[in-house]
Amino acid sequence: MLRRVRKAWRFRRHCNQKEYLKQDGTEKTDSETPVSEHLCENIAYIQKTLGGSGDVKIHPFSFTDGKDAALVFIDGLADAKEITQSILLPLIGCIFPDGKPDNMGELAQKALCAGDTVTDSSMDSLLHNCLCGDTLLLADGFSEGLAISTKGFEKRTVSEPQSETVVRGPREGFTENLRTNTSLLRRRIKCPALRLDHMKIGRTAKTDVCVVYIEGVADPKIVETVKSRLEAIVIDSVVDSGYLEQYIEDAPFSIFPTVGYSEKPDVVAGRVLEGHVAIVSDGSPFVLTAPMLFIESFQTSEDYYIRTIAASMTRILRFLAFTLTVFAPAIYIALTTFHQELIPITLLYTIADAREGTPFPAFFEALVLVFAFELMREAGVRLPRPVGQAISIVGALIMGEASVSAGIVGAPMVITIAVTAVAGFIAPRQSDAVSILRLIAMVFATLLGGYGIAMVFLAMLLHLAKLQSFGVPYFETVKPDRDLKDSFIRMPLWKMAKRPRHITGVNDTRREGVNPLKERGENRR
Amino acid sequence: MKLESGRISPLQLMFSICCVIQSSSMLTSFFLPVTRQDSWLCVLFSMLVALPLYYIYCALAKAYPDKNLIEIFETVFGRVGGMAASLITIWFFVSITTYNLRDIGLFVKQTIMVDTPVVVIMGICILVCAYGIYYGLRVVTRYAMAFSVLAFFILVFSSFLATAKWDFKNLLPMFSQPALHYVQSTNIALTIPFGESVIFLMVTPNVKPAKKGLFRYFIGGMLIGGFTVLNVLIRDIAVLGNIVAMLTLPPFQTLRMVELTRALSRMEIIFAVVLIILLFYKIMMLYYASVLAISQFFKLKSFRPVIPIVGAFCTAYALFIHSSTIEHAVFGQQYAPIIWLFCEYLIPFVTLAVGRLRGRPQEAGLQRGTI
Repeated sequence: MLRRVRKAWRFRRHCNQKEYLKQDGTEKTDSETPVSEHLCENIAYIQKTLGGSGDVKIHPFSFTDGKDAALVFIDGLADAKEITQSILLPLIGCIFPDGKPDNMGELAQKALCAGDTVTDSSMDSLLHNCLCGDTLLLADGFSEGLAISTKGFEKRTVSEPQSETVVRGPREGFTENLRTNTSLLRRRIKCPALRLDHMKIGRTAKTDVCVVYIEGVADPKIVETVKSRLEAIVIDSVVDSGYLEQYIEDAPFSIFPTVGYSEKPDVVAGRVLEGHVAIVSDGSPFVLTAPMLFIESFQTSEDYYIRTIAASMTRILRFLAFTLTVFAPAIYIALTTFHQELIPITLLYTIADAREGTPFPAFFEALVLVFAFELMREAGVRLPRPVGQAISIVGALIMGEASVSAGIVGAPMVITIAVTAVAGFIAPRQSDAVSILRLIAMVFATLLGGYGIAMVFLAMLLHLAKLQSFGVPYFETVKPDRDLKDSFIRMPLWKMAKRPRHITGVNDTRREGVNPLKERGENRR
Repeated sequence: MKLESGRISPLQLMFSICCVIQSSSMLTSFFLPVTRQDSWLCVLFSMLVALPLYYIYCALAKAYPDKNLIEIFETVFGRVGGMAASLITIWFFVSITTYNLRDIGLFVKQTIMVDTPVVVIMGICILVCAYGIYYGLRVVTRYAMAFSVLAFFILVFSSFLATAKWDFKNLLPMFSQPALHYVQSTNIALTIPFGESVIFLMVTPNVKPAKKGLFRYFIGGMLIGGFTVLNVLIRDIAVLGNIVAMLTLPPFQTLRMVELTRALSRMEIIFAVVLIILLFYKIMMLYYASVLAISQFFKLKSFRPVIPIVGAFCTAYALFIHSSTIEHAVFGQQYAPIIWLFCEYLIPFVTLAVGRLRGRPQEAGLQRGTI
């Protein structure tokens, strides 16, 4: 029964897609309008297609020999100064001693001061270029048009990213502009093998997407998988790279993310150098990286910039924080509900004293506090900055202080939830997964105490073991020979002579392992 | 098409064997009443006796590198004989899954969740196991190494914590009991932890080829696992002395006595956690072997549909198998070792012998044995 319903639903979706394609007209290949030799026909076509939008500027002018021509550009997308300087001025004043050129390409070579030009005989692709910020040159007597790159729209400058801050390390972040982002990457990896493969995704909006990897370092199979998954996307537009993530990820219904992202060029460049594939999408400052490993959530760029021992300690701290934030409320519930005998006597008295007047069971207390915390977190993100302080006052005073003194919740529970909340911020990439896991652990701790927590933990491990990201095991990072050097400890950089085993395809050796102390002829101390 | 396509490394096999053996460190109460302070000697003896046993297993795995136990039976004994041997083996697999499930249920009920119905405890365990098995061998064996290394270190560390209570005079006198007791005790120790490794013949076709053969991996697993059990046993006897034979969970009692000032007390909870994890692993492995054996027997295309059936059956069976803990203990002490011996030692031995006599497996056999 269920199978039949599902089949019918699939069929309907299939039909809808087909209809949609028909309406959109993108499937039809024979509908392209060629550029006419008569300028007025071309202008009429443009006006009809763009529907007389106010930002479309059509600037007619004449060559010295009297032939009519026109420039078409979108106001705000094209740089007006550039149009005047490098297109209009040379064109109006130009004289051709050995006869006027008979095609647009020659014209561009002889007369224009612009570098990036494309000659095309299809009106539609010319218009598409125009909508990207190019200026079109159409002239009487030419059966082709010229798209001259004059992109000059407003964009945000490279600034420090809000979501990933560092104390030590580069502070630049990606912007919304694809070209700026790829240039930030190219600047860090001056390697001829760095590949930037472009594609357009989105039937309506045709967003530029760029797949970045180093040939010979990245596993060709993974690159192929990424590209084929991107090509298979059927979507209207890609507003942010988050759209792409949802289309290409391996496990959409898992609580763990299987596609990585970063806002910092140094992080993405580091991953690309390890053999990951980066996906840059126009309009989004978040660059996706694939495949993603679980351990990536616990690595920050700063780990590699500070010294080994401090970095390793921070790593261990992060793993502890992850365990704490998932299991702390559950353990508290299990201890106070089932295993009171495990709490040291003095602490037991303190807890009993604090909980004496509280009316609700521990699970309910924890649930209320966790819920309140999630509320505050969400409100804190959405709130306009100036009002943000109100949240912290409400949180600290009302949620914490007042609820304890009113006897609604016990103080030990507030402390537990506070520690949980703080620890939850340590691995931001997993914070969504953590909130859900925490709830599951709490429910099982209420039902089955410590045994329930153990079972949740084991089920979580099994789930992690089953996950894959682009054919790479998500959780398999602990291999004593190599990957352990960059897991819950970080060995000195010069020790990491090999790239991660699972990610890199062919060339897994970064360089020869050289110990700088030995090189200098000193003993290791 | 093979039922299981995932492949594991020989090292993973080794640690899987190790985990399964380690989890028996709780079950020392089966042979402690028989040989008392000399029980640790029996574990040593049984490790020696396990050597030829593992040799038989490895010889079988080597002779039929791409067949699991059920397929081997069919190739060696033909249709009817193979069916009979397979049915006995399947019954054995399902039974040991059930007994271990009952063990975890009773252990949790006795120690931490006194008021919880045992069916809930067993049900949750079997559900989580089923989740792991659904994704196949690679997921099942993924954490073998982590679990066994963790268990080894925690158990050895806890022994050191108990140093203050050690009294090696408790191990004396040696060899003072009737010889038959030693045989019985060795037999129990052999069948319950070591012989259960026969389930790994279900997965040997999925182990990547090892350069120097599987035997050393079997032995490696046995040694690490065996020494963990030995460590727990000697510690318990040294700490508890004579009363060790009376308790159902001697390690638990030992650790309850550990107290390093007031900072490190109640160590038994760590033991409980380690034991739950190890027992869970063992149940998952046994459950997986049962599921695989049954699907192989019925020549199914996938083992997944069998998972809930076997799980539900084991849970129900575990609930009603014995009316009391005493009955369970008596069965474990007196009946099981004899019956298990038949399944763990005799059937593989006869299979190997008949297989050798009949010569190498023929093409026809290969065709029939493969699904």
